Amino acid sequence: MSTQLILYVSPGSALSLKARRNLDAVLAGYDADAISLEVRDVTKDALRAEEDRVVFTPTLILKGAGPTGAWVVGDLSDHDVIVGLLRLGGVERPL
Amino acid sequence: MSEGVAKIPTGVPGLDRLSQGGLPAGRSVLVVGKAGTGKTILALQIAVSFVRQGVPTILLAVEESPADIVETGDALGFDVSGAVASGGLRLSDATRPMDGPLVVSGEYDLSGLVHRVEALVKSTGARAIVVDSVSALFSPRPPQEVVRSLFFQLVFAFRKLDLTAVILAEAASGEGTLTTLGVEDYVCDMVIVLRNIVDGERRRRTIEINKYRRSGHQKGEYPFTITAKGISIFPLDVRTGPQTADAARYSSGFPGLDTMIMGGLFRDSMVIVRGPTGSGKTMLAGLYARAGAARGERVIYYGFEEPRSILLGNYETIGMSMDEFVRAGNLRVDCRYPEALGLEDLLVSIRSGIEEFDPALVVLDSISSIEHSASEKGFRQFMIGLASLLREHSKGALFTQTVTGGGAEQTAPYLSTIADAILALDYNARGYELERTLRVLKMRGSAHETHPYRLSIQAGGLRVEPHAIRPGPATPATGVLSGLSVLLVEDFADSRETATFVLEQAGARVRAVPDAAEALRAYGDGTPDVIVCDLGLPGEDGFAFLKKVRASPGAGARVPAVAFTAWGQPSDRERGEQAGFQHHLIKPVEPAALVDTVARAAGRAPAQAPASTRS
Repeated sequence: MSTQLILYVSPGSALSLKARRNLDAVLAGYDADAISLEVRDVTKDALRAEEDRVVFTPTLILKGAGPTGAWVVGDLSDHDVIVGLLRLGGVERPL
Repeated sequence: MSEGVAKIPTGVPGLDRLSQGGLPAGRSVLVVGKAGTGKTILALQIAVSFVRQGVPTILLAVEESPADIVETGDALGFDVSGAVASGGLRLSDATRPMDGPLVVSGEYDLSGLVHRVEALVKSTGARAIVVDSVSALFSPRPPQEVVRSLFFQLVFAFRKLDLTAVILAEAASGEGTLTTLGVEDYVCDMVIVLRNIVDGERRRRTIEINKYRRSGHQKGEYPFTITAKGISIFPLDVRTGPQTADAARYSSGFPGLDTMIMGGLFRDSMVIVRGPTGSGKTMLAGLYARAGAARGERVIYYGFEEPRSILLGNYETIGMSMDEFVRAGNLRVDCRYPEALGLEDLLVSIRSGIEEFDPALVVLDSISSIEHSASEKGFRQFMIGLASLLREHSKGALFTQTVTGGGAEQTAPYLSTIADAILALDYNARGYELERTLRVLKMRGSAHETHPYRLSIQAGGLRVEPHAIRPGPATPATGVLSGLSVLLVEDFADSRETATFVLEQAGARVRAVPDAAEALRAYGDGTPDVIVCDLGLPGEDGFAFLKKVRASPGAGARVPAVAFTAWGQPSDRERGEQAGFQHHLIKPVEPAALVDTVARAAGRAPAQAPASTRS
């Protein structure tokens, strides 16, 4: 059972690009099978953004972290936040 | 100047009049209020009305879930679920996910929401959006400059999508900024402020259009109520009197009085009958009501002084039985105690009475019992609300008011402004006899007798005889100022209204302005015969204003000027003289003294009044 990550980004946005890079850097330290990542463009996926109640971009949704999930708003410049939330979902970084 | 702005009507009773047509199409409107002031109700009412007009609308739910909002709206009878079912109203959920943590890490913007709205506009053809609320959207609150730029982003996006946006925001508790975010009002074209004031034990709601870019609007706070049908505002400018030019007159029910006012009252005019207890006010009110009912009109009589059976019994005793008209169904007598009901509820109840019964005449006996059950401000708003209501429905009305001396100066000046006609009843002990008088203090748009008439009460009615008593020396002689134009500069509204009233009673044409800037503008429109000017004014003071007048070319150097001020020190007089004031009146001023001084300033000796005058 893998933890599902959804990153909502807006095209051409420096903040979204930064979030993408930060997330890639963090996930590089994890077992690729434990985590699935889907990046959604809010202009193309507005309907699903609506369902997920996305207001700000970038927004990262961690499904399976905590009882139901967790939301991170921002360019993910604090890597420890993601590491902590993944741990909450039972995904540890292999040493 | 509202021609330039395309508007969408709100459908909220009263608001379209306040805003001179509705909300600015394609622009953002900020609705500011504390919790419980009715922001959501107002927004829902507007949204449903937009949908009904064929304007598809998005409702962005931030504070409460869409389901809760539908429930709230349906409970208020707006049929929000019907609007949703019709496809005209699209709910969009922007509530914060509550089922997991939300963490902020780094910078972000509102593109997510903007693109969602864009997609919704594309799929629904929406032309309007309601955001409930922007304060909840920015919670937890980012730094000020971030809030500012995000809010700009949002309003700019709405503008690009050509959406008429109604954005709700939490009011700040302190002074200084309007909202807790403190940035929104700058970018919105219109700002509406809702207030909920607890006044003694009563709640008073008011609405104010604080700003409306490129459009006129009615200024100031107006009372509103939340009824089973939503928000209802009492908006009319009470100074817009009935059209009296060729207006039909009708009998006051009292032939002697009809003679004194040159034929009768004007249709749809508001009459105040003032006088001490026992002077015959209720009798006059009864004559008025009966005359209307006898003409076959519908009349509502609100009695606040005694129970219905006692009131009707009293009329029976004095030979003015109301039974016939009550039975015929065109006279409704409704007695209640205003204390038992808040003023807001009383107003709502009178409104529904008027709407349902559709009377031609409304009697309130007396407004003093309402006054006693409320604060000064609460009563003022009640009277203004009532006057608006009566004007809106074009109803004639008579109010009785209990005063101890019969004079105009001791009662609230705004009442004089509201009333189209004011009648004063009074009595004096003359030996063993009581000498009663009736006097017409004001009759807007008509000549009238100005002397008191001797009044006698007899079975079945009242009778007057002319010219029993000459006016006493304390009463300003009427007509003394006729033909004179007076520029009155006074910042305090009550004092301005009273002075205007007094000067107009004496025959002057008065242009009344609240500050020096407007005074200069008014002065530029035409040189007045006399200037009456307060010294302490906001902005430029009275000294500076008069110096400018004296320095102006033309007649400016010679216009007589009266300082009208609470500043009574010898140094104030001296400064006044230096600035060019010839006369110095210290407030409070007796009406007679004001008229006398203006007459002397204009070079007129206070003369004996003619028998009648136009007011």
